[in-house]
Amino acid sequence: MSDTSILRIRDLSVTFPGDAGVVHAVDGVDLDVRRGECLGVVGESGSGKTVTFLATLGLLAPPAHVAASCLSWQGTDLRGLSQAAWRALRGRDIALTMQDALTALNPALTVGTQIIEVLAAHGDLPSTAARRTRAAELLRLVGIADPVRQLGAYPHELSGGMRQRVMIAVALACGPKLLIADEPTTALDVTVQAQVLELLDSLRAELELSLVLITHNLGVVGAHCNRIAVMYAGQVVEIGPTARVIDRPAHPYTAALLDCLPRLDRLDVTLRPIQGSIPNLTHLPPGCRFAARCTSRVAACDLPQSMRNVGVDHAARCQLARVA
Amino acid sequence: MTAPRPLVDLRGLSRHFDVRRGVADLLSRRPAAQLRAVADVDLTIARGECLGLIGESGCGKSTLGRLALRLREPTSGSVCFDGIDLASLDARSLAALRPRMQIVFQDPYASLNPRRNVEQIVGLPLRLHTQLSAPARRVRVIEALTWVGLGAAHLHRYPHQFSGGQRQRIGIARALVLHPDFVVCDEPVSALDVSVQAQIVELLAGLRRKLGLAYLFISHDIAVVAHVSDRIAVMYLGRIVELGPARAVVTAPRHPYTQALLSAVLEVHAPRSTRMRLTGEPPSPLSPPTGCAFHPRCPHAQEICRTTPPILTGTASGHAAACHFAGSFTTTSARLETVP
Repeated sequence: MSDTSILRIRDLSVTFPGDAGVVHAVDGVDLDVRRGECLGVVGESGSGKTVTFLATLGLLAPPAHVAASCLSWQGTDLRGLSQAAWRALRGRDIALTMQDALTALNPALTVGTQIIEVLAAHGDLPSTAARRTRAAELLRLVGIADPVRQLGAYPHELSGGMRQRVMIAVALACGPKLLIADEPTTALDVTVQAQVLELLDSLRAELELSLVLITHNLGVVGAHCNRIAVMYAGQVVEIGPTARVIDRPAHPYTAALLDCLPRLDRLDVTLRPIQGSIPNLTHLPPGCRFAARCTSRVAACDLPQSMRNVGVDHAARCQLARVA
Repeated sequence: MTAPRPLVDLRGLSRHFDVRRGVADLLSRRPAAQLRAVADVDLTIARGECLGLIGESGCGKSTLGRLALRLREPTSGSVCFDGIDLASLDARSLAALRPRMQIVFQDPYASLNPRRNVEQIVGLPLRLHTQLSAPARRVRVIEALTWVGLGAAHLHRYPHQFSGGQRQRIGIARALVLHPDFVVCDEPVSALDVSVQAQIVELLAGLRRKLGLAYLFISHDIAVVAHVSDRIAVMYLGRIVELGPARAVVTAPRHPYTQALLSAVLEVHAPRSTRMRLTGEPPSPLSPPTGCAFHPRCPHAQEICRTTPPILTGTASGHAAACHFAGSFTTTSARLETVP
């Protein structure tokens, strides 16, 4: 299994100094992204899902403190990489689309300029004309009609779904092997969400991409990911094949999250909200971080929890989790 | 048989906005454009009823919510609240009616004044609309806070000290402090995390039962709407295209747009293969398509759809759709049947 992983994260921790003490945004995260897969990373705001990947890509500057026992991209150690080496890697091999397509695009530059900028920085295309042609191809690839004309459009002239497509085009400009999409559908209408996710699916097949979808929407991962990692208060609490995690969640938090979702096929069932709120990341309990809100809590939950295998490729950070 | 008088009665309601013309438009003598945000809407909401209103962004659902409260003036049509035509009221009489109709806003960050504490925020409607003394107001504020799961301990805190879900609770307390009959909930959970969203949805549902409230529940999330509503109205480009009992609309949609909306819902438990694809994005309301506004995206569109606007017509069970072919194509979503 392990030889197929292209990105490997082991024991990643990220802390930020805060007014009231050190904020433990990410704590001991182990993750692998495998070649060709779509990994969904789910969690609520503040669970550390975005910070995990910003840290992995070397995008966090002091005062953030990043530590890991292993961060490797296809065998290359990412820890302590020089700025020049990072620049060669990011954008070319690993691309990231930021949350919120409205603010992530530069409003003062045309769409074409923003794509060509990436091609000029990384690409091997010598002439402006060649870059322009490639930029138009990219827009066509992400399903934008009349791409040559749209190269001259400014972000404000495009709808939310179109902007998200442009962001994906920018990210794909240099043919990356891994695309990390941070909340690619959050600000979009449901019908457009479905279109963007289908686009990502088809691009993954067409370009042999590996994909990480960071989202708070379990619906997004349920329909589109091979594996799911569920994060809570800076830790991965459950990871496994999508169908298994959804049908047989091993961690009570995953089960509780699924119970919160309004389901069209169960209109009579009242939603069961998770009581309480996420713990303060400055003063984390030593034991299970979900224990205070957990309905299955026992005394031993106050001890630190480690990941336990509960099935093939399926693990959960809960001592009550059993092989199913 | 005479039906009981609805609490809220919207008749032929339309709202057009004039689009500002730039210098270039004036020089080229381009005619002033009009955006028809709400076009010819008839809706009623009974006492204690929750009417869900869904549609994509820009379809006019928020404008309709504001028209229902007369926070905006309609271009044409009428809004009756408990039998009183709001358009006939002068400012003073309208103000006297305001305590009975309130609104909860979408964004719990932008809708609370960061410089006021909870007592001031929730107590403001009481200061504006009642003659209550400060101690009496405090009693009412604490009552409303208790309803939403907060309490006297929070009176002197400021919005920044609360999480998004708690802020939304404050916004709900502010709407309820005057003991209204009718509350417009304008995307009240869209900005919240799923676990918090479930808390607020259940809170609103519980308060409705407890206080006998009527809601106009506006959301783009059909699953949330289906959970809280008695009836659902589906809006597309300013018009109601389907209206009916929540269960019927969700399990046996009669308009292809509703079917498409249901197919686009990303449900964790749903198999992906049964999706009905909807291509393209909603057309601009500045130049709506001729005939049925949905025809350019509709897989069933025929010639008549391009030329003749369909009229909202119903069945005996009160399930209406504005479609020339309503009910003649597969009306039951296959996806819903496959789920146990």
